[in-house]
Amino acid sequence: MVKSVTSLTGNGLRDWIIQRVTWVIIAVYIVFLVSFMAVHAPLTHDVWCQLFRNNFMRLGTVLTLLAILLHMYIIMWTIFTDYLKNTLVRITAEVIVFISLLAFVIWGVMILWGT
Amino acid sequence: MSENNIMQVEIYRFDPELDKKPRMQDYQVDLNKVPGKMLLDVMMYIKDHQDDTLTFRRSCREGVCGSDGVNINGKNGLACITQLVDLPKKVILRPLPALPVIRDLVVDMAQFYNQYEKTEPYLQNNEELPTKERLQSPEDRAKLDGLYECILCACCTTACPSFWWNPDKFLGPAALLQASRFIQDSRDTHTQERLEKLSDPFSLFRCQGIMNCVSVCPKGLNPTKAIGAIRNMMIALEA
Repeated sequence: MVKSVTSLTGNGLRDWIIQRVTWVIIAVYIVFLVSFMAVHAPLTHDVWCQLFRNNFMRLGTVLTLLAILLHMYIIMWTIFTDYLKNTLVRITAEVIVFISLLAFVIWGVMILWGT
Repeated sequence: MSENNIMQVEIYRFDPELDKKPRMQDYQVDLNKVPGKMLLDVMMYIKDHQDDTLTFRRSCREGVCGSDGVNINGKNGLACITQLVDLPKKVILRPLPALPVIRDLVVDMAQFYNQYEKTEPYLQNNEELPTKERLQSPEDRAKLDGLYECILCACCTTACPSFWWNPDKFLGPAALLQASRFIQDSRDTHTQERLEKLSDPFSLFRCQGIMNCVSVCPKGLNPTKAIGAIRNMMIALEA
């Protein structure tokens, strides 16, 4: 058994399940958003703002941003462990990716509840 | 002698005692003079009649021993069951990728066997030894079909990008097919331990479903399906 400190859960099965579940969340969100835009075409700024004033939409968006964070971290961790063989370089890259993804989530929350 | 029967064979050559780096060497082979219909016959003809320094492994010459796995025009396969009629008139032979080259087409299989060993490829049963034999129903026996036939030629594992990048951590398709063979075996009582040993992020889960293993397996086996079956058993165990 190979131990891995920096993988999301340290367990391949859990990472694999998280990746699939988060992909479903992201897919449902994308389908909903595209459908909404299609139904309300041509989309106006007011309709768009009204959509995101709804608390379900806000919570759904935060959930999707969290799903993107987990999904992307697992993907990037996989790519980094494939191609970056220097441990220091790899861990630095992983930290940068995680902080960037976390920043996107925080930024998203700030936008949703900001004004 | 017909011009059409000349095959140009370009072979990867490397002798660590003589060469600083590998090179490709051309051979022209008159197929009318080759006593056989397989690529291995051409390789043996070159060794016997043109260049006895050419080095490669071969043994059974009928796709059973798995010794003569080579990269043929970019795709791994067994030279002994690759028919000449299926090949173009120019053939490029390289050693199996991802493993260190010992000489010419001979690779060091140690890493491949290390991963195989990790799967504990033998029956483990804690129950009392029966007087005669451990019986298995025809249905349980049928679960081993498509798993036990692997000849460990390494064509699949060395065609797998996940193995190229992490040959020490990812077990590779051949070893995982063997792991599945014992996990599926109704006579083995260590199923849970076997599954737990494969649950880390690398050993099994580094499989990305690329399916190179399926496309190159000379025995027509499906390691990707076997890996999926192991994963499903893990999910069932977790649930």
